[in-house]
Parts: sequence; C-alpha cells; structure tokens
Amino acid sequence: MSNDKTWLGLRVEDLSIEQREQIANDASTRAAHLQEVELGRLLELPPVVAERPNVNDVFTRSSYATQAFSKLGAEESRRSLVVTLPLLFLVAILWLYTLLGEEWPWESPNNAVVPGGVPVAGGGPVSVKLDATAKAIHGERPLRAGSVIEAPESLQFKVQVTGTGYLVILDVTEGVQQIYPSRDPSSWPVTDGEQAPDRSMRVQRPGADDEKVRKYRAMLCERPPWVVDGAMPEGCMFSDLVLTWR
Amino acid sequence: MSLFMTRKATPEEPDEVLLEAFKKGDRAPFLWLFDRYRDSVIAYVWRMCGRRDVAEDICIEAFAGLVLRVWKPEDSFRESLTSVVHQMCVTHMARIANEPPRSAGFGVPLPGSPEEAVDTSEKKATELAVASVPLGYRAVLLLYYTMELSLDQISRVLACDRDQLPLQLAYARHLFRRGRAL
Repeated sequence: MSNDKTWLGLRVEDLSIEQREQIANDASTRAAHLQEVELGRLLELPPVVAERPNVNDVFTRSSYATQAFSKLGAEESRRSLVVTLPLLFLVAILWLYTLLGEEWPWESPNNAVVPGGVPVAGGGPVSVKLDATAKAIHGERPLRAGSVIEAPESLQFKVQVTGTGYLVILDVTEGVQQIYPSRDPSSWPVTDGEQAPDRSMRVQRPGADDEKVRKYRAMLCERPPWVVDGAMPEGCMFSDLVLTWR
Repeated sequence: MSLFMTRKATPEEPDEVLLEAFKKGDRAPFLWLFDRYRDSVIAYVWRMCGRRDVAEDICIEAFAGLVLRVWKPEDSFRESLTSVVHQMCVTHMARIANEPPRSAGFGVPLPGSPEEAVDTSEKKATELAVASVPLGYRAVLLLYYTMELSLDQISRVLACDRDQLPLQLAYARHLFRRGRAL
C-alpha cells in the first residue's frame, strides 16, 4: 500500500482544496476515490436492522436506575441509624465507667479487647506503596507520578504492602473520598505482598467541571480506618500518587 | 394569544436543537435523537465487541445516562455520544479480557456475532472482513464510516494524532478489502 494518496475515500469535509481539485480534474484519481468511498459505504448500516431496542427501553432503564438510587438513599439513612444508635450506647457506657472510676478494659495488660476494631495479627503496617496502570484495548501501561491518563484508558491500582493491616484507597484531591472499599473499611484486611482491588472497582473519570489533576492515596492502618467528616485517621501509613486525566 | 410563539422542534432539526427541546421537557425530540443514532451505535459496538446483546445494552445505557444526566453532551452531540459509547465498549472489553473465549468450531461464527446474524453471503463476507481487522484499526474504520465522525473528532475520541489518521484509515480499508477477498 503506497502512502502518497492515503486521503482517497475520505469525505469532502476532510479533504484539502488541492485534494478536491485533484479528484475533480483527474479521472483515474476520481475512480480510485469513488472505489474507496463505496467500500466505506458497506459499513454504514448495522449487520441486521430488525428487532432493535426502542426508546421505551431507555426510559425503563433510566427509571430503574432512579429507583435504585432512591432505595440506596433510604438504605443509607437506615444504615446511619444502625451506626448512630450503637455509638450512643458506647458513649453512655464510657460515661458510666468514668463516673464509677473503673479501669478501662484495654488498659489491663492481660486483656485482649481493642477499641475500634479487631486487631490484626502479625505486627501491623510496615510500608505501603501505591502504583497504577492505565488499561486500553491495546493493552496496559504503568503510570508514574504526574502521568496522563488518555481518553480511552481506564485506571487500575496496585498496592505494595509490607506488614499487615487494613487497606483503603482514597481520593484526596478535594477533601477525602474513600473510593475502595466502597463502604466498610474493615473489608480489605491485607498482609505482605501486592494487593489489587477487585473488579467491582471503577475509578470514575472526572466530570467536565471537576479537577483533572487528582491525588490518590493508599492508606494502611492497624485498625479499620473510618474516615469521619473528611478527617484522616491517626496512626496510619500512606502513599500518594498524583495523576492527570485527559 | 401570546406574542411570543414557541416554535416546536421537528425530526429534521440538528442534534443540538433536539437536545435543547428535550431539556425543556419535550419527549419527542429525544425519540428522534435516539432513532437517529441507535443503528449506528449498535453497529459500532456490535462490530467492535462481537456481541449483539452487549451492543444493545450499551446503546440503551448510553441514552439512559443522557436522560439521567450522567454525562453531558459538549459541542457536538455525535462526538460526545460516540465518546461515551466507545468508553463503555473499551470498559466491557477490558472486563472480559481475562475470560476464556466463547467456544465455536474453526470457521464457525461465534453465537451473537455480526457474521452469525446476517442472512446473505455478501453481508457475511462484509462482517467477517470487519472482524478480521485488528481492534485499533477497526475502531478508526468504524468511527469514520459507521459513526460518521470527522478526522478531527476521531482524533479527540481516540486521543491520537489527527495527521496520522488518513494513513491509519487507508490501512484499515486495505485490511478490510483483503478480508472480503478471502
């Protein structure tokens, strides 16, 4: 295939004035151009045009999605009650202990109870490093700090962990937003080695009005790191990675 | 009678006018937009992914996303829609990349593939030829001829150099023609 007339078969709006003149004035060029145009026309129609989805399918899908979102909202408020009530109960118990001057259970050296979660065996966090790759049709490529994620690519994380603990991945660009695990930070206990979120995780491409340069953080903590009102929990190790979305 | 008569949109209006009318609460323009792009969107995804059910699902999902304002069209509706659809297609292919291929005998079209669905040998030759073009070139070929994007628009959707596209497109046509000749 020669490279000199790669423009043959293009639509008029993609041709330069010289190319259009060449097609108009030279019969052999015109014939070759029309042959390429005809070849492209074979691709205009879908393979089969019967029994296609209709607009009702779209509205049904969107109404299901709306219902699912509203149910999710109701579930969220129920869940917040489920969290709030035990917390109030816990505060009441602590207050009672203070009044009675009792020794806290976890201050006793022989007591195994640890507040705020189940302790992880194995000595706790030692180090954490966040890495990422960009995936597209043609394969994947590693991303370094400051790398650009191109339009057709999706973002995937990998975290190198030494020691043990609970791992979360956060977006700390504007406030703190937990992106994996999606809810319960105690659901990703890890030990030494490379960790990767499961396939349910999809990092959302920033919207048109959102900041395109995003700072992601892998955080490894001895206990499940509940992020409350955007405040970072204490006693955790973290590793940041700044990436730019195109 | 009001001094300011509002003109009703018609099916022949440009995309942006239909979209604006839909935003104001009129459902008919959305139907016309859907009808305008449904076949090409399904054809694009079907030929890229090789699965009719996935193509129809992505088509419905993309338009449902427009209704729910999950994505907002920018300057060109055609380009924005194609960009969303292409992204969903890539995501689907990445998700199934590690799955074992669906079984079919040598030379037998896979169930649900375009070449299995068509009824004439002429159409079968076309679909087999499309399927023989490697994915990167196939995307360029289909974005140009099926989605009817301009070279500038394709360069933005695929984030590639516009000046390289005529050569890539010519090579994609060459592969397509060779596939039909086999």
